[in-house]
Amino acid sequence: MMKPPTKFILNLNIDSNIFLETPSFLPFSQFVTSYNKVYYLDILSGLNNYDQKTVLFFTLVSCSLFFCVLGFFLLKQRTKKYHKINKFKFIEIRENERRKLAKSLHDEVVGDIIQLNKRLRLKNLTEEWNQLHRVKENVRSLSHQLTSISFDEIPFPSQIINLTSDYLNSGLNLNVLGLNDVDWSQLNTALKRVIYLSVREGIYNVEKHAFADHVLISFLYDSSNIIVSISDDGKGFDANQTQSGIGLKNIRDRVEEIEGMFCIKTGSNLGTELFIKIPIL
Amino acid sequence: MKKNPKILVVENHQVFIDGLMHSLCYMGYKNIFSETNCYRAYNRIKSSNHLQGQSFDLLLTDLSFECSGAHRDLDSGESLIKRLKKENIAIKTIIISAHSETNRVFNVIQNLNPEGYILKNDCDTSELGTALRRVLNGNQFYSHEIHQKIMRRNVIQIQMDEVALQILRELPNHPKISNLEGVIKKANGDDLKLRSIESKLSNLRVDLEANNNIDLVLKAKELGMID
Repeated sequence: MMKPPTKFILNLNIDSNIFLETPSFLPFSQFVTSYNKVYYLDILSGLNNYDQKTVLFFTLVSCSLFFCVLGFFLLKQRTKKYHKINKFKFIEIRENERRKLAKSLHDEVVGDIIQLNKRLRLKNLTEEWNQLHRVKENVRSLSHQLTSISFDEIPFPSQIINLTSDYLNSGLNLNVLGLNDVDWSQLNTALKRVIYLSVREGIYNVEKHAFADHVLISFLYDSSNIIVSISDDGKGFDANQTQSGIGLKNIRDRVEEIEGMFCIKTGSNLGTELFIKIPIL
Repeated sequence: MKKNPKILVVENHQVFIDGLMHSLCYMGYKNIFSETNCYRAYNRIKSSNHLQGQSFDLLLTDLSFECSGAHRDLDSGESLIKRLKKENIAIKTIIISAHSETNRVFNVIQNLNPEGYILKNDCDTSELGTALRRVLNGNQFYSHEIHQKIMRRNVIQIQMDEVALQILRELPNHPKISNLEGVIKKANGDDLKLRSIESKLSNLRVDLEANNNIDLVLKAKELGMID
């Protein structure tokens, strides 16, 4: 009827692999009853308390269930983490490709056009020369658009200071807080690039639209997130009426691409605060 | 100053070269040469260095060049200066550039430490003359706007430093610097030692180009760093 009972007992006591020993043709309920029968017949001469046994059984079942769920969540988290690493890698590769493309456009294509232009000028083909000149300027500006910021030569905090000092003048006072508290060298380049571009866009907006006296750029850091806030005491805007500008939309897109959060707190005459929270790996 | 110094102008646009050469001639410099790209400029400097008494005294160069693709490693003013420095070729350098972003300016000054830096958009003949005279006499010359940029950068950096701000705020309240000891606290709450206060003060004076402590406080107020 059943497998040798002694083996059953051993398995029961050793681990939760009880199901493995179940005859596969028996459904679970039958198994339980047959198990009970076995119990009553002859196996558990040492243990004579039926309730105790059931409790043990259900404890094991719930334990294994618990571990299953835990394992599932751990696996899910791991997948999520790898997903994120891959995303960062993807962005990094994309930026590298862009840089390469920009460099080859700038150095090779523009260089060739210049050579060609010289020949045209020698042959006094003024109209062609002018047209080619226009093409050259277009290619050049395209290559400038494609180049993205790199933090290899100048470290990130230094670039932020350089950036903010470009906007500092007698009318606008800029303060940077917490920049040196963060260990930037540990952080991913894609993340730093997003932060740099966001800060640049933020300050640019303040200077252009806000009529503010003070801007505060603060960096906060904990084990899992980096938080950047750019706040000013300017005139603010009505978020419902103003169509979100292309600059702000770009910030949102960039931040959300790396699973960050972006929000704007503003209102007429209330100043503006841009708030960016980006998870780090 | 050496009599009749030899000058090399490196610049991409012929019109600009002509203008510069004309200005330099007008100022009385006779020994002037020009190149339109960095690679040729490098070769010219290097080859003239081999001849006794023929080496260039001053390099007046732009930063960005429209490169023709042939010489990738020498495609900018930065790379030219870096190369000359690396090969220990003694030549004084003045940068004349249209690039005014602090990021580029500061990086060039910090890494290449040129003797002179002027911006194309705020440069006139008299400024160019002053720059050349000062640099050929062994001094430094950075144009007004460059000074302003470095100063602004320093302001941002000082504002990030809570201790420096404390010193600036407390300085007018105490007749002697030694009285500041015990007043200035570090971030962890400890007192800052007198020696550290003094070195910090001297750094602040350098950064804000102040002659003395009174001047320093006035400048800090003017720049809106303290109320």
